[in-house]
Amino acid sequence: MPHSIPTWLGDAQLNAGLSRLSGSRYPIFDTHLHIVDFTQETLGPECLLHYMDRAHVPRAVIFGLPVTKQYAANERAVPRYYLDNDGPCYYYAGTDHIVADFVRAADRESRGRLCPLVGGFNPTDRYAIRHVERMFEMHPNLWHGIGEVLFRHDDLTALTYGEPARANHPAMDPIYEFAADRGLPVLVHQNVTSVSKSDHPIYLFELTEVLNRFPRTRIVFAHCGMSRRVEVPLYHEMIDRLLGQYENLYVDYSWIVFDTLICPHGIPDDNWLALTEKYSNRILLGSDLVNKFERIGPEMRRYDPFLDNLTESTRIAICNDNAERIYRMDSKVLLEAERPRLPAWDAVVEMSGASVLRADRVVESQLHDDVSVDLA
Amino acid sequence: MEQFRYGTVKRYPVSYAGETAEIGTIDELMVALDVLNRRNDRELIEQLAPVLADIINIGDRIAPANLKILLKALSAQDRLYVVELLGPRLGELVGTAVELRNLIVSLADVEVESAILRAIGGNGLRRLIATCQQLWEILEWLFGESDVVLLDLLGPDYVRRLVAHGHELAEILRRVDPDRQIWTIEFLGWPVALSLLRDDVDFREVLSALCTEASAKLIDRLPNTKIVELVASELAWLELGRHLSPSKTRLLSDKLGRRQDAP
Repeated sequence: MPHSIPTWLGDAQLNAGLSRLSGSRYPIFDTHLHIVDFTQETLGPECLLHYMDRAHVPRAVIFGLPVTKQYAANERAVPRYYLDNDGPCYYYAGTDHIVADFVRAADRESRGRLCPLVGGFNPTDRYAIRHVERMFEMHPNLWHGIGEVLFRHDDLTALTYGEPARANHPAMDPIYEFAADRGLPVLVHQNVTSVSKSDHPIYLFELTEVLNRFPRTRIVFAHCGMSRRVEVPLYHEMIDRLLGQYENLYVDYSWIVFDTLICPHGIPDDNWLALTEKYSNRILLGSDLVNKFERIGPEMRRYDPFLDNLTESTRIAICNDNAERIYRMDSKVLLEAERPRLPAWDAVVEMSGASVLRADRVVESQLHDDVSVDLA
Repeated sequence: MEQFRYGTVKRYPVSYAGETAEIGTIDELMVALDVLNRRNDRELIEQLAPVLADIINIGDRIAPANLKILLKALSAQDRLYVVELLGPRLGELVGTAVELRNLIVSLADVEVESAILRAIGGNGLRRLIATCQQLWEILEWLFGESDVVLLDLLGPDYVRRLVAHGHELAEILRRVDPDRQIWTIEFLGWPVALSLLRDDVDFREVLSALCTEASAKLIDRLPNTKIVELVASELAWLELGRHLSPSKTRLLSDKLGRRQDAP
């Protein structure tokens, strides 16, 4: 995650001073923030809110981590990060309870600034949906979405016990349906390829299959599918095609995709600027911090050279309005207000003036024909 | 894999700064490029120009792999040079549609891909691409103008022969850039495209493959009675509703929610 990447070193302009601690010039709704680290420790809401205030971050989408790092018996050093040693990770549903407690522990006025997501399940377990349902039952009116669901994730995939998670795993089907029925977004981490295959996105089809099959489910594609050592050519073209093809897809510019492709060395890429203007209502920003809340200021500040080059309306959309629309709106309101329905079939038939037989009647009449032939 | 004897392979001399070597396989060429620190690729390849295709084609079953190894290793400019050099023989070296797909996948270079397609030419491509699935598996990896180049080279008549069902049309449309979907349908011809819609599944698949703008055009072209005939049952109607995005649901509702004779 960001602390091990020299994201802050690339831009000489930004390197200048301590003002970066106070965050971006533009208030940014942070849509990607883990409140625990890979050992499920958290600094707590008072700490987070303090640094959010200092960095002028009005609101944040927060979640835990669905996996936790095992402190293996043979390890002499304490692991804090999933890459700290070769020890495995395992699914840890307790993370959602930590998130729920985190929100409850915040002072009453500040709770509204936090948008917690459910994500502490094994996405290859067909009982995962029960965990999600249980969390919504146990903590009603708390959750604003589902995520960050970890599917293909560079070395983490290899370090996690069990079957490799993937966006199109059948265990996820009822969760996508659940989200669609409630108007909830699903934040997914699905690398487009493996760390060992960098010439084309070998796992992209797993995401597009989901986008095809669940057009009513809003999918937020974390980091545009990029990860450490996971990169393929024609990235901007690929994201452009995906956003054009699937209106239920949103992307976030968090983590290394921003530093590597979108704004390398603090210099905005023209293609990504154009793409951002083109799909200004589908893009989100986030820190992707892992319990290192004191870093939220510089993480948000690194967006400034890019934001400076956008039109004002696009800047407002990606800094705040998209996140408000996707994560903050009451899901019930969203359900009624945004979900169009097809008119009733009988009315459609009548209005069209078509004289069609219903398929079941056709089958029925064919059956009668067969019977009559037999009788004859 | 076809066997050949390394000792008897025909080798061709190359020279650089007064030193000479003999090259007979792509692997030998690659190591020669490496020992010149990859700064003199063009100089060596130019010396081998008349026989480069033969070197790639040393064993016909490894020719596609040889071609891929060589092109992947070169700079964009040198790739274009090699593609031009090989010209119509590229089709023979690539051999199959799957290998053409693999080559495009691994190059990921819009300009070079278009050049390869043009070099193979319409006849060569028609020899390689014999099924609709082969076509869409190649289209999936073409970006920019390359998908238009491929379809143009194949020609509308040939593509119409490949696309026989609605679900095949959907697979094609899913793999072209959204802003070229309407162009693709017009390339096939609207009557042909509409004739491929034979039931609710065809209609659902094609609608879900199209971006909102193209969906609007399709829905606009279909009379309400035709849509009702395609869907044909309440069950299929409900299923369609489950598989449509909000904007497409809105488009269809707007169209069907008013009488056909209404303004």
